Formats: sequence, C-alpha cells, structure tokens
Amino acid sequence: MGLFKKKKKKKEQKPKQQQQQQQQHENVLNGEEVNSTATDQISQSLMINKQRILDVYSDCSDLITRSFSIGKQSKDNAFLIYIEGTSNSEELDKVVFRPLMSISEWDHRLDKVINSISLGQLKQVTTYEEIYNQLANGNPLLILDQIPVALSLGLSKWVTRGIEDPTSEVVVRGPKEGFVESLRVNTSLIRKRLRTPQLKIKSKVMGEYSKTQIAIAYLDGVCDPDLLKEVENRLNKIKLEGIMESGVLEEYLQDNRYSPFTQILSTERTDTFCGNLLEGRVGILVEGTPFCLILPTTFNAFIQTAEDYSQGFYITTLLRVLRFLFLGVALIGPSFYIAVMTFHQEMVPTTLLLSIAQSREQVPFPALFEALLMEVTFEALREAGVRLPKQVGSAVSIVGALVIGQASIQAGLVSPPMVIVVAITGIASFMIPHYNIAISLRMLRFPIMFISAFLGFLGLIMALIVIIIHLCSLRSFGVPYLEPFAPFKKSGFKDSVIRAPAWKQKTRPHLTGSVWNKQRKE
Amino acid sequence: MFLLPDLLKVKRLSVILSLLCSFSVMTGCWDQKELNTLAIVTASSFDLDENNNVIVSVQIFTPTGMSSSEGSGGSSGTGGQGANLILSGKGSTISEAVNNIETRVPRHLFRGQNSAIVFGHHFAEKRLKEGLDYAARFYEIKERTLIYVAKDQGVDLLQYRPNIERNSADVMEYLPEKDANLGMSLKDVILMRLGPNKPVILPMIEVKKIHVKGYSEEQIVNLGSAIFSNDHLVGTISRHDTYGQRLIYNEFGQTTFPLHLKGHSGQVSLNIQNVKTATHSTIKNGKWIITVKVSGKGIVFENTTNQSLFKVKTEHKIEKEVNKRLRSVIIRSAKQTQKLNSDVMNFHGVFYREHSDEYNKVSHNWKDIYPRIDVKVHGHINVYDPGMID
Repeated sequence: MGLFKKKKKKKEQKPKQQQQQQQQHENVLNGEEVNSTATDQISQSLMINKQRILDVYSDCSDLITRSFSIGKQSKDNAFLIYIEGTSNSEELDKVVFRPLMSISEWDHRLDKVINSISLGQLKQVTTYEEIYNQLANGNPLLILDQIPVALSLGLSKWVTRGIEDPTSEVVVRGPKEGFVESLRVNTSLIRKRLRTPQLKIKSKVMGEYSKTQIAIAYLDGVCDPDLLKEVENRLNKIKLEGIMESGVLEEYLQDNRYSPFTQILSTERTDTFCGNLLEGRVGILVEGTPFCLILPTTFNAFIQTAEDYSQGFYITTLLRVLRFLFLGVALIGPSFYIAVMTFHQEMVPTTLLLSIAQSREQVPFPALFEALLMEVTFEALREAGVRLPKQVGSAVSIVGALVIGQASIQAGLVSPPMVIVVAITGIASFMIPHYNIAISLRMLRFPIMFISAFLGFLGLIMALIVIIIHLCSLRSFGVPYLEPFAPFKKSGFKDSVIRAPAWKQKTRPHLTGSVWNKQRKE
Repeated sequence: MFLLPDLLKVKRLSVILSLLCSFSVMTGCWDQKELNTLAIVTASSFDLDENNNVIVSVQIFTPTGMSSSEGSGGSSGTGGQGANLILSGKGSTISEAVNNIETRVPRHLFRGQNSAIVFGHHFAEKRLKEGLDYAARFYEIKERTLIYVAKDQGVDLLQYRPNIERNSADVMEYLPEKDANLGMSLKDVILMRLGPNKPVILPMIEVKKIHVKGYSEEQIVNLGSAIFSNDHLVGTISRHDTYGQRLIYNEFGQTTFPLHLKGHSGQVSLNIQNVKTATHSTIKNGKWIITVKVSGKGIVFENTTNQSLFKVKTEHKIEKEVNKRLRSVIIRSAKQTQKLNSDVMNFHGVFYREHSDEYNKVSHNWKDIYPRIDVKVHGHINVYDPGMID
C-alpha cells in the first residue's frame, strides 16, 4: 500500500509544474523566439552587420560571402551571404547579381533594389536571429548599406532524393509514391492529394541546434480543435537538441511512454497519411525523414494496410481476419507449444503426440530451452539480415535456413515440430503490416514463453490477461487504444477486423475532443 | 514492461528480481513434465489372478527415436517393430499394481492419452466397482476413455498387434464407430450406473483368429455385451441383440439387414441410416408400457430378388419387412435385459420423465416392475434410395 500512496503524492505535484511549463512555452510561442543576443535589430552600418555575421559564422567553411557595389560606386555597399550547396547559385547570378550590378545610380533606397530583383519569394528581415534562420534554410541574404533591413532571397535549393517506392510498406495495388526526406516536397505531395484550402500545414521549428522544421498537417473542420491544441501543447513541451527522426517525437508524444506498444502510427505512404487526415486525425511531418506521424492511432490501425481500401471488401476482410489470427500466433505461438508439451500432453490428439514424442526422443533439452534456442537464433538471423547490405543479406538467409532448418535437427539440438512452430511464428510476425507493432509482439513473446514454461496454460492465460488489460488501459491522445473493440463502437467496427464496403462507411471514426464531425461528405 | 517506471526504482526492482529468482528455484511448485520423461500409456487392462490379486497391464508407446531423415515417412512400423511395450504389475488393489509397474519404469506412466480400459472377465465379474472407481478418480484418465470387457484376459487385447493401426488401442478407439457397435465411455458408464439397481452394459471383445482360405489373421471382434446389475455380471447378450439397446438409446449408427420378401426368393439388403428413435411411456390399467418410434432412411445396397424396386408396391413391401425386423430386434433385446433384470434400456428414465409421480412410488422396487414392462415398437423406416438399376 505504501507504494501507491507515494505515487499519488507525486501525481498531485506534477500538474502544477506542468502548468507552469506550459505557460512558459506559450509565452515563447506568442512572443516568437526569445534569445538574448540574437534578437538585436540589424544595424544601419553594413560594416557592423558584416562583422557580426562573420563572427557568428566563424570557422564555417561552407559560408559564401560576396561584397559588391550597386550603382557603380567605388565602395562596396552591398553584401550577400549564403551557405554553399543550399542555394541555387545559377539563379542567384541571373536574378540578383546581374540586375543589381546593372543599376546605374542608387540612392540607398530599398524599393529600387527590390524592384530590380525578379524573384517571387522575397522577405524583409530585421533581426539577426532571422538572418541566421534564413541562412540555415538556404535562403541567400542581401544586406545593404545604410538600410536596417536584410533581404532574404527565396532561392534555397536542397539536394533531395527522388520520390520512390515506400520500401517499408509495399503494396501490390496502390500508389507507389512515398515521402522523402525533404519537408517541402512532402507537403507538396500532401497538397497534391488534398487540394482543398482546408488542408492546413502549420510550421514549427524544433531542436536547439538542429532547428528542424516540423509541420503539423490537418484538415480544418474535420479535425477536432481540441486534438490539435493537445498536439501543439505536447510538441511545445518537448525540448531537444536535435531531431534526426520522427521516432524521437513519437517517443515523447505518447500517452504511455513505457508501454511496449507504440501508440502513434508512422507511415511513409502519402495515401495512408492523407486518408488519415480525412478521418480527422493530425499528421506530423519532420524535415529529414520520410516517416510521418499520425495521431491518434488505435491498435486497429496496425493491422491495416493502404491496400485494404483498394481491394474488394471480401478480400480485405479475409486478409484482416488472417492478420488478426497470425497476430495471436506471433505473440503466443511458441508459448502455446511449450505449455502443451510440458503440461497438457492430454490435449494433443494421440497420433500427433506419439509422432512428436518420437521426434523429440533424441532432443536433450527441455521444451523451453529448445524454443528459446530456436527463437533467439531466429531473431539474431533476422537482425543480421536487416543490418547487412543487400548483397550479403541473401547469404545470411541461406546460412540461416540451413542452420535453423536442417542442421539443428540432424544434430539433435531441436525437434522438427519446434522448427515448424518457430517458422510459423516467424511468418506470423512478418504478416503484421506495421513493423513497430511486430517488434512489440516479438519482444513480449519471450516473457510469455518463460511464464508458460513455469505455469502452463495458466501462465499463458495470465500473461494474455495482463497484456489485454494493459491494452485496454492505453490511450492515444485520449482515444481508447482498443477502440472499436473495447469500448465497442458499432460504426467503428465497420473498418476494423472486417471492412464494410465503401458506401457503408458514412461516418468518421470517433476520436478525441468535443467536436465530432461525424458524417462524411457525399 | 509497462511496470517499468515502478521497476526502475532499485528497491522494488531487487524485491521483484528476488521473487522471480525464487520462483524458478522452487521446483516443487510446478508440475511440469517434459515429453521425454513420459511413458505414454495408450491402453490399459485390469485382470484378476487365481489369488484374487489385481494385475494391471499397460500398453506403452515406445518412441524409437528415429532420426529426422527417415522421420518424414511417419510410423510405418507394422506390429513387428515393437513400437509398443506391455508392462504388468500385481497388487491387492489397482493403485498398488500400477505403483508396482511405475517402480520398474524410469518414466512417469502418463495416462492422459489412455483411450481404452479393458476389464478382464474375472475382474469384471468381481471387481467392476473398483475398476470404475479407480478410473473415475484418477485425474489423468479422461472421461472419454472407452471401457471394454474382455471375453477372457484383458492383457490379450493389449498384446494384440493390428496390421493397419499402430496398436490395439487405436482399434478399440474406433470400434464403436463401426456398424452399430456399442461403445461405452467412462462417463456413459458412470451415468448409466446411476439408475435403479445400477444397470451397466459394456461391450465385450475378443481377439479372434479368422481363417481366410489358407492363412489366418487375428482380429479384435465385438462379441456382444456384458450386462451388469448391482456391479455383478448377470449375463451376456449377443451383438445383434445389442442393436435394440442402441436403438432405444438413440445412438444407432448404421447397419445392413438382409430381408426376405414374402413370396419371393432372394433377398434385399437394406442399409438403414439416420435412425432416430423417440421413446415414450404410458401407464394403462396398471400396465407399464414403453412405445418406441423408429424412423430413418433405408438404402438398398443389394437386390437378389426378381422384383423391380422402382415399383412403389415393392418398396412398401421392403418397408414392411424392415419395420417388422426392427420391431423384433428391439423387443428381443428388451426381453433379454428384462430377463437379466438390468435396466440398461433407460426405461426408468422415460417413466421418470413422463410419469414421475408413479415412478417415484415404485422406484425402490424397480426390480419387480422392470421385467413386466411391455414394449411396443412403431417402425417408420422409409426406403429412400432404391438404387440406379432395375
């Protein structure tokens, strides 16, 4: 009891701290970026500006600076800086340098310069902080003498990978268009699918050093405002030095951070992303990774694929039932075998038991050890196969097949039925469409194996009950994780283990918040 | 995993870890039994010797531990390979005898797969109650275990090596599924024994040499049924007479009757299946009457008469014959059991269901009522399929 009391006290204390933090964060948002030195206004003097920028960017060999004069004056009265490789230097030459240099007379008026630059994206910047941001985003900056305004030229050009097949979520039928590492390309891909102005993409910079661009995408009028507020709230609380991948955010954003089950779906498929936005969910895109986050997410989403909606509903229903079935196999396959073989031999049909007994006769290990041996070997092989380059990968699988398939049986280490169980379990875990949840199940398999080796079916069922209770207690941004099964939602059930035909699905799933835009538009 | 925040605290972690460790050390707490440490008993038999000692025999499957390369072929061993081992033990009680075997076997005698228990004839005569008590009490023996009575010694049936099946246990397991054979599971026996004067009917089997021109083959044969009353063997009835019991119990499988048609030479072999019986009771003027209605399908398997089966008249003739036959079968077996005074037909159940007041008055002396019950049979077997040729 003592333990519980302590817990409660801590819980009471926490909200106060959180509130304070929250307020601070909101202040930061409203008052824009607060930084003691960098918020200074740009000076009138070109010399001071130049010196200060060069000081900040000392030892940055990729910074390119160019001083030149406008209006054929002897003294340089303009200064252009950009970071090499982030800007389109050819365009820069064509639309900035040439027209500016051809100005015959200049009386330090800003509008003349602006008018002579033939560029769509042109932004006036007044603080140093903004200068650094613009530079980091690849926009060249033009600083003029006697004018306390710097011009940010929208000529950023980052090297990006071409749009390719999403490799982690392969479909037979469906778009073969995956997100890439560039945030802007990704937002354009979303825009391409949802052309309504109701698609909002809020931008945000995160990471103390990385200054990573993050976009929050949602459909205005479909997405619940409370949900959006909560997402922004949680994002504001995150303080990180750098964000290299959306997985870090995922870890922070989850309701229950210690759960083995991930409560946020990540996808690199554009159609999955946009489909989820249409259901009223919020998407988070992170610069530098093709994996975008979708929240809130229920357990249901992890057994669904993008293809489910392009195939017939009979086939989809069949496949989903199959996936659900094998989800169970992936979780308890070896444990079931161990429990039956060490506790409940009377459950097996006599003929089968006799042939298993026959094949197990030469195996020196108990069933638990046998299963562990095989499962660990299998996990190791899989891990090795994932990390290795493609050319070597096939060699691993051949060696693995020999080791766990044939040789171990002939050496008398394991029995053939065990190999079958391990193989089926392996296939079952591959069947789960989302890697995240497959990993969780793979991990949970081992403790269940131990428990069922000690307690038989009693232990197996106990472990399952614990897992199910845990799943029931999970929330993803307030949405019960097991919805629509627990709590049972009839309308949501139409797109769960079964998939009703498209014309039967007239309602959006019920998510968090007070506003539920229930009916889909026809 | 999700307890991690709690687990992370060192104190609690150490408590939980020590608990987990102690669980695995407390080997006495788990009743784990590896498959390699089991001697799988497929059938067992109880016999009595001259000194009234119980001899328990078990048929154990001996895994030959064949290597994997030949394992794919399955067990092709036909008798001669010695895949079965028969072990016997003697003792004044069954459990002593079993213990006697167990002391000599390095493995645990696992009877969760025991599919049949055979009572030797002498054992059944004198110690039926003990046998049933042991089987029902011992936790490993399933309720579905079939109970048989051997014509002579129970061991003979365990030692029999069938040609098709792996062992005699398999043969005994599938015996009730053939024809309209009687099959009594442990549960059936226990339930039936609840009736007045503890009526029990058990199938009687024997290993018989059957000669087929020039060579002989041993086979397990169903001889009929042994009938018990108050845990004593009171008599046996033939296999054919057991049909009546099966019919009234509504557990008749299927069988083929050769029928003579009146005024014609030759026979019509009619297979009757999907037999359903409804048993009702009436008490009229102090007379206790059981009415059995039998309905079902008849399919002509063979026709050696010169009659055309496509004539409705012939079909009616066949139906008349088969219903007459069924009537005689049922009445005959009812008479037999009435003579032995063991209500294995469950007539008491029918009366209890429909005339409970009258039944309750006489239930204590059912012994006197039962032999005097009249049995009436209404047959409604229809010829369903006369065949394709005329």
